[in-house]
Amino acid sequence: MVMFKKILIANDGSEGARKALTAAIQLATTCSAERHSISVEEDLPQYVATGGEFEEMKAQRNGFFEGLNAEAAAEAAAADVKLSPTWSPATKSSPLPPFCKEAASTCWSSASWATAASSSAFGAALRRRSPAWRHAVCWW
Amino acid sequence: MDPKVEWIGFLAGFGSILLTFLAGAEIEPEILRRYGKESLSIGFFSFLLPFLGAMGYAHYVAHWSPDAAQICGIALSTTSVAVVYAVMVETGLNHTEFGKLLLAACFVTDLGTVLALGAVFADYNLWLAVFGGVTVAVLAVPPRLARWFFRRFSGHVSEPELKLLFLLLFGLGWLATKANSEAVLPAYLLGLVVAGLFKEHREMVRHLRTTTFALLTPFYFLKAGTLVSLPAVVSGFGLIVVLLAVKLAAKFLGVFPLTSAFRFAPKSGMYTTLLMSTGLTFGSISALFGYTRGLITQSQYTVLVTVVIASAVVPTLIAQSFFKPGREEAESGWRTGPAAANLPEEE
Repeated sequence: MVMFKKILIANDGSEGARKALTAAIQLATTCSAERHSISVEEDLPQYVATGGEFEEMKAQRNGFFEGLNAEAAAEAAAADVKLSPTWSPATKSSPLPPFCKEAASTCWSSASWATAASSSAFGAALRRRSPAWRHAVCWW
Repeated sequence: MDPKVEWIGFLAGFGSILLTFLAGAEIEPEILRRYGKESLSIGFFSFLLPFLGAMGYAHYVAHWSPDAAQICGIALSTTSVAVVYAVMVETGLNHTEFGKLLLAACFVTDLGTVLALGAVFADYNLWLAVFGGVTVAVLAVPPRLARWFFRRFSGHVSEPELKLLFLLLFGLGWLATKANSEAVLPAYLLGLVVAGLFKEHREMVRHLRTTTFALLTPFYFLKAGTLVSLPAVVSGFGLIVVLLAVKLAAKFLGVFPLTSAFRFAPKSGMYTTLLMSTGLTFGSISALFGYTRGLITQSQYTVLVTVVIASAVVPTLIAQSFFKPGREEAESGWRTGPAAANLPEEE
């Protein structure tokens, strides 16, 4: 049996990310690794008429990601796997969770990636935050 | 769509009034009190120098009429609170003391703009005195009256609270129009007065935003957009570039020295200056006011709206690319000096 310590799923709600989530949950059933998922909020408007208009759109995006994370946790729970979902707001200065930094440095060198969301906007957002982020699932 | 059709003009005008009201209602009075000296001085000079600079250039160099030059000065004096806020949320600066001070200063600048818009073209007669008196009376009463009214009638599907606000906005707007002033002035002031109350009635504010953005502001932006003449953009391109440069230079002269005086780090000071150079909503409202009143031509309107839109984009890009301070840098950049030492701690 292959043993991994940690598995990280990048989830933007896209078709590719959903496949990656399913693959990661299947992988997780074979080992007792820590399982995390990360979602990065992006595409908030910059040119708005009032601050309130921006706030409403941000609240809408927050709701989407909260729902996405709840769905991911439920799918994992159905497979008897515990998943810790996290979503990062669209603030470039907010720090990434520690497991993301670890994944960025470890997975990049070991090339242990699954290809699921490399072409998505989410992949681009992750690459902006750290050049090591390329795909939807990594494990180490 | 013919922007001169009366019902479109009414909906567009109502949209601009509600936009202004909502902008005023977004201020946090506590923040304005906490950073009174810094925000008042930075905000005031951020309004005054671009107003004088753009007006002077338009009149003496571009040879616009005095009225058109005043509209130019007002339209280019603004700072877009919304754009500044959106940028700061992205960078996380909205949670810092530095960011809150910057937002408070933006509100002061916009207050200068709406005061100028309401006062410069007004007829100084009995109607203006009545308008001023009623406005002061109405602004003094609403916090107490509205608090009782909102508590008594909130939750009704017919939204009596919104009807009360519309009544006040229409009433003050009508008086402003009789005095040849501008309805956005009492709208912004009313927004400032009820800002604290709005924090307690978030659901009602959501309904008001929905009404405004779903029904009314599309007519405002459609009207503002359809009046832009593409040939005028081409023929006036040189003037557009120069007026944008005048606005940026005047904002620099008005804001940057004060940021140094308040012990901002140079990078934070430059970032503040550039963000305070942005403009969007109030700039376009001022230009549309000038055109609908016959104070500026369609070509001049086109030039102003294009400069306003460019001023939302260009300073933001420069600020984000070259001068964006980190959160710690922004905090330490202006809190180390003696001016900052007197600031009270955030609650």
